[in-house]
Amino acid sequence: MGASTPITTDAIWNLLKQIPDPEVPAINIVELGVVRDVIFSQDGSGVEVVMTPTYSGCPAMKVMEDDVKEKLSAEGLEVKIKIIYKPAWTTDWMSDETKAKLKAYGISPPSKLTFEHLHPLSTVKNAEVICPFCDSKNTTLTSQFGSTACKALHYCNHCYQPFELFKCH
Amino acid sequence: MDTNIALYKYCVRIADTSLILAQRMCEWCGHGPVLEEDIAMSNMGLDLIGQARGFYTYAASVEGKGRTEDDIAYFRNEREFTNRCIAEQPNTDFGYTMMRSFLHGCLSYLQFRALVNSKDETIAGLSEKALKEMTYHVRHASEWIIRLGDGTEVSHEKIKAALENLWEFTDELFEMDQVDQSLIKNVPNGTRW
Repeated sequence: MGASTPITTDAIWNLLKQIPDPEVPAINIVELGVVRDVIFSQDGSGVEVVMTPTYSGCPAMKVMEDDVKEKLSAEGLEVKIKIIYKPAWTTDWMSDETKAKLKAYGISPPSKLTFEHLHPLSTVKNAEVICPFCDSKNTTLTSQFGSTACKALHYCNHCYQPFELFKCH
Repeated sequence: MDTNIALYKYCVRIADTSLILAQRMCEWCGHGPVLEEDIAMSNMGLDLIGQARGFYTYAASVEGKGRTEDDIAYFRNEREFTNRCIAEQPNTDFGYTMMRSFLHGCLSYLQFRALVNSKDETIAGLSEKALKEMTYHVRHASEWIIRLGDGTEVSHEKIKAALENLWEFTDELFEMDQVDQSLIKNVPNGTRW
């Protein structure tokens, strides 16, 4: 894209949608919900990308920031990343389409947040976790913490497969 | 006390507690009783490190001397740390570690739940994030406490001993000092905390 045709906000969003989540590459960082806003500088030479972390200590955050910088710098833009914490990231920002992509990738998508998820002394045992492979609801929680901060380990008692759940958050 | 100094100290205090507890949790890495718990404890350590980073970074900006999160976290002597004592207690055994997580986690949960409504937007934002994480930590620890309490005679005795020992460190969690008092009265922009 030449300097004579200024890049649009939509084009920026489309570029950002080409960046996969480094830990769950089946979805991109826009679908994940970590990109909150795109703001052009007054003269249009720079762009500020507003992002929010999934978890406070998510190690993938730095990778995502670097990926955004690399992607947009390649368009000749000066890139600034702004991290915000409020509103806190939630899996409720994921669309049904995104959740379907997670399932196809073998990760059970998060259900809608409920009171039980937000209260520390309630058990979420009764929440239905569906096996991404055979759609059975006969599953057991193995551990609330999985290979990444955003996932929990489950086991399907129907098809005998261990699988990961993208935690409601 | 000058409000900015109080705010700096308040943030460092939260961050110190998170950082020290995170280090303790991650000591379990490679030594957990089962793989899932090994992973769980490092995961929680990671959340705590993330929380510490947020509060150290904010403390550094409040201080305004050009220091970074790392300067505060790693370039002070041990006596300058202001963490809650419960956070630094040695891991001892798995039950003890879970009881420590539970007691610290409950206080932390309640504190963040209140701080979500802070007039200070950065504190409110960091707290909103941390609150969700502490919810998981408390749930995880509380389920283990039930399991160990109802388990064998040995697990029952150990978790009981852990509670008896750690309970002594909970007084501190309810203490109010000049830092708290000063912030309750004022926040930097003059509105109530």
